[in-house]
Amino acid sequence: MTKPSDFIESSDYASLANDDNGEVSVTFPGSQSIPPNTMKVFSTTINLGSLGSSMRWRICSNKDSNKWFVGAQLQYDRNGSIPGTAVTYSIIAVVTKTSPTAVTVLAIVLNPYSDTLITEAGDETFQLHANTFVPPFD
Amino acid sequence: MQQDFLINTDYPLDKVVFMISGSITVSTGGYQNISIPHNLGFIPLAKGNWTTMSDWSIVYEEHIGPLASPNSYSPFMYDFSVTSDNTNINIAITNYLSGAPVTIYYRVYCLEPSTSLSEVPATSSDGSDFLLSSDSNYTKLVSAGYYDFPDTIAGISSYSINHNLGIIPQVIYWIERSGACSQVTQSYYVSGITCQPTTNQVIMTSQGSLAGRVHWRVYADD
Repeated sequence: MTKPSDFIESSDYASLANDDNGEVSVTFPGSQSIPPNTMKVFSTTINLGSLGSSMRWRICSNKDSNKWFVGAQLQYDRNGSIPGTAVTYSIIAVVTKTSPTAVTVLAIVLNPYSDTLITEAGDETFQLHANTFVPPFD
Repeated sequence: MQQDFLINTDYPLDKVVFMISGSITVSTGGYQNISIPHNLGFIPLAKGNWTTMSDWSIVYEEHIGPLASPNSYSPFMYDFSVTSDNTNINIAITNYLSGAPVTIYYRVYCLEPSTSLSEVPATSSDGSDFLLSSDSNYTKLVSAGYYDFPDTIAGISSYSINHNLGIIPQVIYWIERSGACSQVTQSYYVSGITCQPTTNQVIMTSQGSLAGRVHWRVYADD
């Protein structure tokens, strides 16, 4: 046995290989009207990666100075309204594979209130940077 | 540029120290939790993948998966997560919304944390026929380490890692608390521990969060 981190490369251990990378964005338009207890979803899909590849990701929002965050989900609280009342709600950007060689990024707002939610003014655009990998099981 | 090299002796390759795969069936609306001994003697940095397809044609990461129908209370039909401790790899699967039993196929591989002083058995025979192939560009590790964040339930704390690569690098990170470690795949800007890579730094921020150790790996690949 050996201590793995002592070696730059070691034929004793499986490793990971880069496969593909790409960027895609999705926009959630401002001032959307969302019926009670429903969600509104906008999405974009790109061709990325090969059959069986796994992913790493980072996401940013134009409403947060396009600061990148590592992860497959990024959530913010925003200010909206139901009739007569200012309320907060969450907007979530999520990433998932939708086919062997396609990645979809979604922007989702769930209205948890029992009245129609009007979301914050101004479009919010999420940008995804994704890398795919040949995993060590291949 | 460092990422243009298939292999670069300036930076170590990732070395997988444990691998496991299998399948499990989860009932409608059900939950399954399985524990698999890893025998490593330390808490490894585990990364899980899963699928509902026996041929692994579509691979999902932790906490994401096939989309649920609109107006569901979760965007995904299932939840899959992996936690590692000093003894086991623990896999948890929830079948939220599919309306039927589902067979989940899983694969977990583990990397060695920077805190490990252990010797580890070989894993290369478990994987690809070729350890290194010039068809592939291998991930190149620039920096690996950890930081112990204090309790930030009522505050905020940040820690920066300088890499000066001039590119926004690939980063993966895990949170270890109370002897259990899991990869972070979700960022919520007002609570939890987030990771912001820039062209010269990686900024870890804890806000509204319990104390915890963050393990990170920064790569020369963008």
